[in-house]
Amino acid sequence: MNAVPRKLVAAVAVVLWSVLAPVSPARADEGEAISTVSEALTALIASKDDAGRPVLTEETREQLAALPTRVKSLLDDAVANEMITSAEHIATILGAGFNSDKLEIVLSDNCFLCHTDYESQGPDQLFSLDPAAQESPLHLNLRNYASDVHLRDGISCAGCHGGDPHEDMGHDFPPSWPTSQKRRTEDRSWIPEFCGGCHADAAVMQRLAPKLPTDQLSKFRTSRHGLVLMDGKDSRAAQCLSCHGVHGILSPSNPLSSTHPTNVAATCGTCHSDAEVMKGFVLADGTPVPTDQVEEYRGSVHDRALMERGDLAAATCNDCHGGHTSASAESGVASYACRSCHAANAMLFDGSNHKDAFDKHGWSECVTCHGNHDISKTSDSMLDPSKSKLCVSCHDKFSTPEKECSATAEKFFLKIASMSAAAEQAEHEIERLAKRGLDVEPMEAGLERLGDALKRSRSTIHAFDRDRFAEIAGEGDAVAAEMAGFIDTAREDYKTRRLELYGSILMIGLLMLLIYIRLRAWERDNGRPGA
Amino acid sequence: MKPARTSTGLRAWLEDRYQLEPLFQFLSHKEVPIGAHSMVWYFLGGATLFFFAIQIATGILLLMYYQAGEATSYESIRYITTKVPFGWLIRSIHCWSAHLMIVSLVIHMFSVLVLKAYRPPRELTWVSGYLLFAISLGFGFSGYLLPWNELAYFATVVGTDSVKSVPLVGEWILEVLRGGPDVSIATLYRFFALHVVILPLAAIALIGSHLLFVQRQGMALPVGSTKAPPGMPFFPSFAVRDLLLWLGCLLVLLSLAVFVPYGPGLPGVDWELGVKADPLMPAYPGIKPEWYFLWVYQLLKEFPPHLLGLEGPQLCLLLVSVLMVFWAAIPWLDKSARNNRPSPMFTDLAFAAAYFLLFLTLKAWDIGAPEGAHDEAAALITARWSAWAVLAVAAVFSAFRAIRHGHHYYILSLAAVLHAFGHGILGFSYLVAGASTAAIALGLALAGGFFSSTASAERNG
Repeated sequence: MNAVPRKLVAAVAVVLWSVLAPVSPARADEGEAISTVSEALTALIASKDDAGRPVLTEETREQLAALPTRVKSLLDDAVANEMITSAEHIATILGAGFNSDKLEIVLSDNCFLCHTDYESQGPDQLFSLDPAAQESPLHLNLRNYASDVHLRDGISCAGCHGGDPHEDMGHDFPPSWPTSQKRRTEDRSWIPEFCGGCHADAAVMQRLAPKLPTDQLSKFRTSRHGLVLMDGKDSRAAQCLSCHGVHGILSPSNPLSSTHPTNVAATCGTCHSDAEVMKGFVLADGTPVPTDQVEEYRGSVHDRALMERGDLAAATCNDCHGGHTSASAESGVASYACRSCHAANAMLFDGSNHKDAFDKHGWSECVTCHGNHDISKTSDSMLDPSKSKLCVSCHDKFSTPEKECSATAEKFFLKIASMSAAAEQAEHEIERLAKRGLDVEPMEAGLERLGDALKRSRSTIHAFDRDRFAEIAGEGDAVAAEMAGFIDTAREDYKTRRLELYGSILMIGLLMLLIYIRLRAWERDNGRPGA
Repeated sequence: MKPARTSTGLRAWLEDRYQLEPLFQFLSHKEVPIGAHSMVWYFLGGATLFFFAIQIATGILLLMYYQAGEATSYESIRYITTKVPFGWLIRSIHCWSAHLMIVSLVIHMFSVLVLKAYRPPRELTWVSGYLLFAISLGFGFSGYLLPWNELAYFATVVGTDSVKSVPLVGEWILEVLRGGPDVSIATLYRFFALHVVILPLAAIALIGSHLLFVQRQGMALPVGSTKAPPGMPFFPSFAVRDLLLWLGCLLVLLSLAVFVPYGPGLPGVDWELGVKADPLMPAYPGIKPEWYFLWVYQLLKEFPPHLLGLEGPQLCLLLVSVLMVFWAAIPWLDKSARNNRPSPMFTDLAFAAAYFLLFLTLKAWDIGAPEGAHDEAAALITARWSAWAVLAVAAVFSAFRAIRHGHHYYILSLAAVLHAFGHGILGFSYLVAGASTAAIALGLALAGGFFSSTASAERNG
């Protein structure tokens, strides 16, 4: 009789064990759980500091345990070859944030293994997680190196510095590497050619990054930066590393990259906002190159579009001045850059009578009225003769003060102001009518058309042609009149609703009164309580 | 001998066929007790019934144009409000009447609680009313999704998501409710069926029973009375007054629909159509359910993720379920009222419940907080404002109760006020303040019970 319950208990125990055992928490306790690695590595993992605490944190041990077998095996090899001799070295490598693919690259790279070992390297040569604490140069940051775009393509230390990463020591630098300490630190003019060794080589780039262009070097040579650096031998001029960094180069599409559109102004400002760096650089007229461009740009219409709206197409430094082709404003390139985005306005301007005058005086066509780095949102008041001197500031000086010109500007302003006021009032009215539950669909469509006409009218001003302006503004007037009709109808509708309501209240109220009188009469006649 | 049925007209014609005389006799003799308390409370059930009738009538009219479907729900409601003659009026009345029905239903329920009208033999009237309240909430929840606009969509996502916390079967209920793992057009179809077929049938059956119980048993006498006081004839005196009230309600509905067509603009009391639902869009912060669910929404927020070995939402729903079951069982739990004796504790319970719900609802409304702020600092400001509001309301009601009705039992309502004070003004967490005041109230109630039983033993002795 007892056999059955015993079997049952055994069966339940087996089932319980098989269910519970797999879910019992895995403990990566001091190396015991990482059973697939060598004894030497296990010993390193389990090593303790002077106070008897494990050197590797619980988190690092769990990270180790979760590594793919091939990476564990490379780690084993590095320990067996004595390239890794301490738990601290392991903690440094794993703490940098390499993914398993990149770990596979660096763990088989002796340059890397040696230059991350604080026992064998001095501060000047040591990559660490915190270079400032190690008193090392800041570019020896291992976390940055882990995110470098080159490492993703398998290009490790030897890719630039030369040598054989599988040998013990291989300081066999490439021929183009600077030979003297002076050249390495003070003369930076060798850098563009050095990077161009790969980036200007179509065959190499075709293999590694086929989408990238290979003309950066040739553009750079003709750029302002290139001329100052390579011809003028002035190492203050920007070269590849100045903008892209070193040992942590990211793709420009990465929001953390110094060349991502949202970071470009700050990157350029590193030099251009520094009076010390810019000292001695002058414009064609001999005046010093200003250092307030970035400050002016901040808060401009372009900066706000980029930084607040996240519109990556909004202009930043390189969109007007070029990137590798960096041009100064004097070259005239920057002033033409507006056209690449604001094409419609540029075409209107081309057909205007202002075009010849601007060309004759050599005025920058957009910048003269709108400014450059600190372009603020345009407003209708720019045309208001009572508030703005925009037109007269030139007309007074360079052209016979013609009444006709002032009259034209005033005409533009008054028409646009009236359309703008009409649109604003219509919007307000539509909102009010919508809240009252009226059908505002046709009005909303009209408002959109009115907004469109207003935008086109403002744009047409760039042609400085009364007839052309009148044609476009006339469309706006027609829409505004149509809207006024819709709004009047809706107001009438609402009036009717209210009248119908008052009628209903009157009728129902009267009915209630009659019923009440009749009830009271019945109650009086019947002498009932409640009477 | 002359036959008895000699009268002519419709009544005779009907009498010939259906022998309705007993019914007419019943109606002509039926009376509504007057004198013990204000007559106002007797009209609230009728007002709720009127709003329900309006819902059925306007619902049928809306159904003539509404087309449930991913590409038609939103569009058809838009069409109703903009193009159909008087469509705006019908939709607006439907929405206003829905909210006013819940308002009058809640006041009706509280008045029944305070007047102890649920005591034997009227327990089932209370239970059927309680079920009608639950069905009304179901109407609100299912109807909210039907316009398929952004606000309704996300409120339904959040609302249905809370059933996930039900132990073991939560996920299953969620899938049944949504017709899949996510809120989709399948959810709208089943909510539509629920809203226009299942719930109306259930509501009509329950209203039938509720009215039958009331007609059969008559209005409850004031506590302590055994003999009916002089009454008001049900027909025509009471029924015609009911009719006058209904006409008044109709006037209010019409005026609101014309002047405030989309509601007063408070969160959860707003039915502007807005933007069409897009399931691929992320939910925006500050999504709130309709006002009568706000207290549960806020209570869920007051619970930490884990508490007492359970998940916070699970524990919260458990608490809400216990409160709901307690509420349904009040006719059996209120021993004093069962014996036709005054039951001040349950009277005070009604006020305590009202303060408890008011505090949570005001908190959920973010009163006092800066516009659009949803952070910790804003929550503290809201808690403080809500607590002061509850304190003010409680002071007014307590003074009224003491002066007008001579009430002397305030332990439970005091606990609810202390809870609000401890959380909103002293800054204790909602649960800590709640647990402490519940303990104090329990202690006081037990002590009070002990003293009163000692006193009654002394009296009896």
